[in-house]
Amino acid sequence: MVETTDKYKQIALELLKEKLGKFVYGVTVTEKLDHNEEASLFFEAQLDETAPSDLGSDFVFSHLYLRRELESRGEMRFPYLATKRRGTTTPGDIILRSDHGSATRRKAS
Amino acid sequence: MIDALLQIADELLSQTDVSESHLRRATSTAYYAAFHALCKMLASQIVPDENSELFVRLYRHVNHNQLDGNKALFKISDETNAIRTQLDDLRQRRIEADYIPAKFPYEIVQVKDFVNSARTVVALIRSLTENDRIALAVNLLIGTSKQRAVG
Repeated sequence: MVETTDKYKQIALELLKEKLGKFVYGVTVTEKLDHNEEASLFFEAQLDETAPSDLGSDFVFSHLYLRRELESRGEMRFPYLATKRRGTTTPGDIILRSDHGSATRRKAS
Repeated sequence: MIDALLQIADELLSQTDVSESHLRRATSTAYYAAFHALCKMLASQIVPDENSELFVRLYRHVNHNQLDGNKALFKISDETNAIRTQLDDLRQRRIEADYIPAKFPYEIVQVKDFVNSARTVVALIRSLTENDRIALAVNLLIGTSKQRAVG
C-alpha cells in the first residue's frame, strides 16, 4: 500500500530525526513477512557520516517510540528497524570475501 | 558468557578477511548474548547460586517463543518495553543469519549496529530496577494476570 508506506516513512523520518539525531536523512520501509510469517514493516534508517559509530540506547528507545507511534495509529504490524550508513570508510566496511562464489571486493555503502 | 559472546561478535567483525559467514555468526551471537542476559536475569532473580540445578532450570525456562506475540509480558516500563522491541528485532536478524540461505543482506556496518544494540539490551537488562526485574521474572515464569485469567 503505497500511501501507507509513504506516510510511515514520513512519520519514521520525523521521529528518528527528533529522537535519534539529525544525521538521519532518510527512511525506507518495506512490507513483508517476518520469521513467523507475520505481516511486518521493515524500516531502514539512512544515516549520514556524522552519525556516531555506536547509537547506544538512543537507537533502542527510538525503536520503541516508533513502535508506539505506529500502534497509536492502529498499526499493529511490528516495525523492524535497521540502519544504513552513508560514506563509512573504516577498513571494516570492506567485505573481502563472499561465501557465494569467487572472491569479491565490495565496499559497504 | 554474555560479555564473552559480545566480544566474540566484535572479533568476528574486526577480522581482516571478513566473509558473509562472519557477518552471520556475529549477528547470531549478538542475539544470543542479549537472550542469555534475559535468561540470567530471570534465574538470578530467584536463585542466586548459579551452580545450582534450580538456577539452570529457571535459566532454561525462558524460550524464544515468549518474545513472539507476548508483548504483555514486557509491558512493565519503558526499559522492559525497549528490551522486548530490540530482542524481537535481533531475533529476526538472527533467523535470517542462521536459516536463510540467500545472500545475507547486511553489510559489516549494519551488523556492527546489531551488535551494539545487543550490547545496549544487555546493559538495560542489568540496570533494570528491582521492581522491574521482579515483575518481568514473574511474567516470564507464570504469564500476566490477564493471560492466566484467560487461560
